Amino acid sequence: MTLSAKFFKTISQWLPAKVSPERLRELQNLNPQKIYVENVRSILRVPNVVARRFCETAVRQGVFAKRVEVVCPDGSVAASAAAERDLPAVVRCWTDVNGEYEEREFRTEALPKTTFYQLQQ
Amino acid sequence: MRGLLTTIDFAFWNRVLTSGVANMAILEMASTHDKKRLLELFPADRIREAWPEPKGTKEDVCFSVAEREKPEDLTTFIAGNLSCCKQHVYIFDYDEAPALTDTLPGGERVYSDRARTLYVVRTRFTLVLRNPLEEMPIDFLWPVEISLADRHMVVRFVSLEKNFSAYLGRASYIANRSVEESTILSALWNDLHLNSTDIHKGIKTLWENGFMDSPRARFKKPMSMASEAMDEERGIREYNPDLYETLQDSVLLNTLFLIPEEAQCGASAFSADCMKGYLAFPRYSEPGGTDDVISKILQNN
Repeated sequence: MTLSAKFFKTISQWLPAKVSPERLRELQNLNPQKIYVENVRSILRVPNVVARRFCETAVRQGVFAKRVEVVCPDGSVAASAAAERDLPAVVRCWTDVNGEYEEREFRTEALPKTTFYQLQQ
Repeated sequence: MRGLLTTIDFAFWNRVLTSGVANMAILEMASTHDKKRLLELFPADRIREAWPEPKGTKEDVCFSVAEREKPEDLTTFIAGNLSCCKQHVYIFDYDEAPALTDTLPGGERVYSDRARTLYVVRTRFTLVLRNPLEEMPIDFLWPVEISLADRHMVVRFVSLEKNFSAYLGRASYIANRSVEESTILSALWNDLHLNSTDIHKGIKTLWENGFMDSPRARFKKPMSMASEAMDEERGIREYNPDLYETLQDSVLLNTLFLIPEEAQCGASAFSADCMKGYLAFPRYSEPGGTDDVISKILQNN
């Protein structure tokens, strides 16, 4: 069974009956390596707290793995890991200085982190 | 081994430059601090390999070398190691080899041979410092190299330090600069009537061949400017093939490329603004690394 098929089968069991087949297909089309709470929320059209609960339940069921990423000032991701303590202490980010790319070092603790989920193999 | 090679390089350039050294009044009249700031534009490992005796931080070594070395030795070092510096490169087309002048705005030729001409330009930054409020000038001796080959003129500007607090130990901002890249390029345009080389073909061929991949691209869509910044420096060609297909047919604006170690190129990163024939090398490179990138782009263009 492919990753997306496994994902589709699993989430179908958990979703309320009123979710349309189109939305299920949209969920199936999510990148299984990077699923944000907002992706799930917008497709299911549920409150953020419900979508988060959906993802956390998937983690407890062993369907999702929870990961964290450190975000550069421009919004791109510098590094990701299974837990915040596993992130490097310092990351390098490319910044745009007057239209020119410059590489700068930042302390990871000073940058924002984002949680995301991956479909377990 | 690396030290030996550098010694050979240094000796080689010394010999080569004996015949090519031009007027060096700008270096002869420069203060020790001017020459120290000039040396600091180069990678520490190159300075230490050229002058292994002085010990201490890069700043200490540069000061010591600036204090005691002759202008011709500095010229030798600059000419032999300019390709290692962080730099901005502009490529132009020409039909007939243009005659280069002895001077540039604020600067003069310090070396030339059949392939290239090295200038040193004095540019003055006027800085405004805070706590207390104060205005202060700071001069840089700025290496600029022009080379001519295969109907292309390549103008290289070594990148200057933008973080002046490293020199002053105080927060500051730039109020004015006497000579900019645009000042020198305008003078060249007016004198030589140059057109920028469009390097799209060379860049896209090298990208397709796997010499490099891009984690960040700015490109033109029919009705907008778009940009893409990949997470964790992943390459667009490898991880976003749909976008890569689009980019192969698009006008590329300022796009960053990373060169993997397997390519065995001495440079690891550069950005390109293809229509302007512009390249920027934001990291120090190994000797010849930037030359290799420029040469590969033009060979495939």
